[in-house]
Amino acid sequence: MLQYIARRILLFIPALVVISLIAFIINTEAPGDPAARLVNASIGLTESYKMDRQKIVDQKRKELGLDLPVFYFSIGSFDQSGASLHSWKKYVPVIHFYGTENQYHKWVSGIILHGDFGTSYVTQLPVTNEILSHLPWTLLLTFLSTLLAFGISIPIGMYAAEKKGCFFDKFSSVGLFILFSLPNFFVASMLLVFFANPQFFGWFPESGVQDVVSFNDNWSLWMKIEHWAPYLVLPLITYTYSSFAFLSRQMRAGALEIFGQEYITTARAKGLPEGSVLWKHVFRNSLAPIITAFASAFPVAVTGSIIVETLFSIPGMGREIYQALLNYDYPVIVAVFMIIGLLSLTGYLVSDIIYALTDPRVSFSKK
Amino acid sequence: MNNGEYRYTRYIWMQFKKNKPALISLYVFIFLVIISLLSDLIANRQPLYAKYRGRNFFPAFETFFRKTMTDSTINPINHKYEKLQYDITDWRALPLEHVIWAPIPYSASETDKFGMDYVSPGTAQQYMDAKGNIVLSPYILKHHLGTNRIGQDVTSGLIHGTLIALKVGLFSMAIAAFLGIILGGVSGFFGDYRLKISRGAFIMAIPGLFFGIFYGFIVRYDVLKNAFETNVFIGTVQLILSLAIATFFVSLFVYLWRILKKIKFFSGKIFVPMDIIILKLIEIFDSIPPLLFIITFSALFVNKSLALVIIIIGVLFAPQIARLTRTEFIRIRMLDYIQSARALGIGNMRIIFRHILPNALAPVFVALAFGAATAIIAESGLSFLGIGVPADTVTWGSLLSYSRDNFNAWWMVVFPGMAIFITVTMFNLIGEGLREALNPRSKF
Repeated sequence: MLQYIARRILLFIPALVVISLIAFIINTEAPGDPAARLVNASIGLTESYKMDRQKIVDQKRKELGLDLPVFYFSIGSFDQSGASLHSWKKYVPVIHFYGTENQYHKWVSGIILHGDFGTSYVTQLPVTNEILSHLPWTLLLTFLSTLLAFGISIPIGMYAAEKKGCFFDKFSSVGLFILFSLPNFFVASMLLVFFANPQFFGWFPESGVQDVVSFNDNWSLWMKIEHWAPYLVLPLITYTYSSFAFLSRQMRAGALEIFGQEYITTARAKGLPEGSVLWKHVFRNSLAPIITAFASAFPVAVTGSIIVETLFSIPGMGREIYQALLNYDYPVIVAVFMIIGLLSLTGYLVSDIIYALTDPRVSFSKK
Repeated sequence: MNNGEYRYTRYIWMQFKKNKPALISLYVFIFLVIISLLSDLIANRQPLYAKYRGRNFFPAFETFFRKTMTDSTINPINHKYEKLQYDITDWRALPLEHVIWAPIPYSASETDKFGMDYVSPGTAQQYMDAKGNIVLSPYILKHHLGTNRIGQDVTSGLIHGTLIALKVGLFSMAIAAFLGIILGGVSGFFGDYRLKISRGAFIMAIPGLFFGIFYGFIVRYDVLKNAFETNVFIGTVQLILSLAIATFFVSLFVYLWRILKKIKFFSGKIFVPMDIIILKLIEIFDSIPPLLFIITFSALFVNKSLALVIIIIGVLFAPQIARLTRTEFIRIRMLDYIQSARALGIGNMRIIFRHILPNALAPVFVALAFGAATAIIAESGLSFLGIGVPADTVTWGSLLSYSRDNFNAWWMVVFPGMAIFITVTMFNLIGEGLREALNPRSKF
């Protein structure tokens, strides 16, 4: 068992390295010169600076370590100057080794040691602070919607599986199928047009999370929640419906398979009450796919939040990513990419270990 | 089975037919394919037929093959030649003697000067007639499903968007199937202990890889970068060329290992654990949520294009196909008929392509049908956010995004949204039908 977990964790590391490499490639291959962009953003393009602009940019470049070699080693041409384009020297490969004084090493150790993802091109603030300050809204919405989705989908899925073929099962199957096929931006736009629009039903505020004028920071927590609640209804619906449809279908399919097993017949034959059969035998055994879904819930929610938060103007991580994309703010994009990759990998790791702990059929040894 | 002939495909078709929603979806699919192929004839600002100054024109048909078709007529007043370039001529403003408009007389990206700022369906609309007067539009020239902020006709956008949606769904899945089946097949067939190569070849492959990467990618770095900056298609061609160069060097060096054959150490056999390598690759790809991946990669390219979106979606979907193919290959590989094929001395390639692959495709087809639905949702989501396709391309997603500026324009939400929803549901239902038809346990 321990050996299995150890092996699983060992396999986790190369995956992490590859993700960091992909993120790093995005970082270095991104169009534009980071140093120039940072300098432009801080001093602007005014005439008076034109003279020593190049100097400032060069200084910035040194500061950021952009003058260092990119990686631990490089394969390059024998002729590095590039002056003679068609000389034979261009076609002779040479390997250079640079040791730890390189951009990748600096970047990765910055992330590991200080959690430093660089500086945003737009706001000139450290990316880490930027992301942390936007995280609470995303976490809140994710948490609430996960709670809602699991709370609704498990009973529905179980009930539909138990009463297979009855009206409720058929009705919910069709309904869930339709919900499952509805793109979330369509649902969100529909909600906005019909339920946040005085022309139809102006029941909910259309965007943001709080009223700029009436919101007061000194309010008690309860008053704040009361103020935020109407703003969160429509985003929560959008967040929840698709994962809820997916989970219910998953739950029903899983439970149906367990219902067909012989040990359920045995449980019934020995006279167990139906409720006990349902929740003790069927429910527990059909949880496996739901656990997997739970593990990937957070990363999926963050990407889902890109559309939802942008549409409803919620100051969360999703909207932050969207703004970064529009502004080609690569440090933010790369940081989010890394964080979500790390979270997903951890999610898979944890769900694999939970799987192994709960399901005796998972084998720990090589086949 | 009338004449006793028992064919698998026919059996599947009989099963599929029994699933009514799936069958209807298949008809809807065929209908959409026809619409998308004929979209230039159904929705076009150029008339299907026009008689002008005594001459017959068939502009919509003639520009079907040549976009910049030109012709000329003689002006009866000053007897001068006047050039007509079909796609920029304003046919509505010409004094045509006889005209048959296309069913939807607007092109997708055409901005109607008199239909700007969200004209709602059903209201009175205006246009400028041949005499230069602004008059009420007759029924044929109306925007039946309204317009968006810049005066583009929604109906026309929906019809032309069909082609884009189907392209995204089908081409991205073709890419996914191609990559996924190769990867999954290799990993499933060879497993960890089946691909044996000699140690010498393995060792020689390392310098081969070094030279391959050098000549394929480092020497051609600028070429590749320029190619990708101009056009994704040219970029892909150059990338394939680079890969070919790299492959050439690797195989050259592997071939050279014969020199080392004399030494005993090098002719020993080692296993290449294909399965672990490919599974790890798949896991890494899987660990990044697809939407984030697509968005990040499209952010790398300042020049947006549809091809880029299709390729990224296809590549991202490949791991799922690979995993399914792998499972099937592992299952089938153990079956008796493969063992006997091997005993007969049939080569690996023939076993893979003739004996395993046709039997391994069933779950892949199901996944591809569902995948097409996912791909369409992904693409329209990107277009909705305005980061997927170029800004001047009209897609269902980009039409829907106009509702963000004006919540009163319900038609900008309902119609494009329904188009996406119907197409997505159609692919999902076809997938569901295929799954049931291909399931050997379902009753016949």
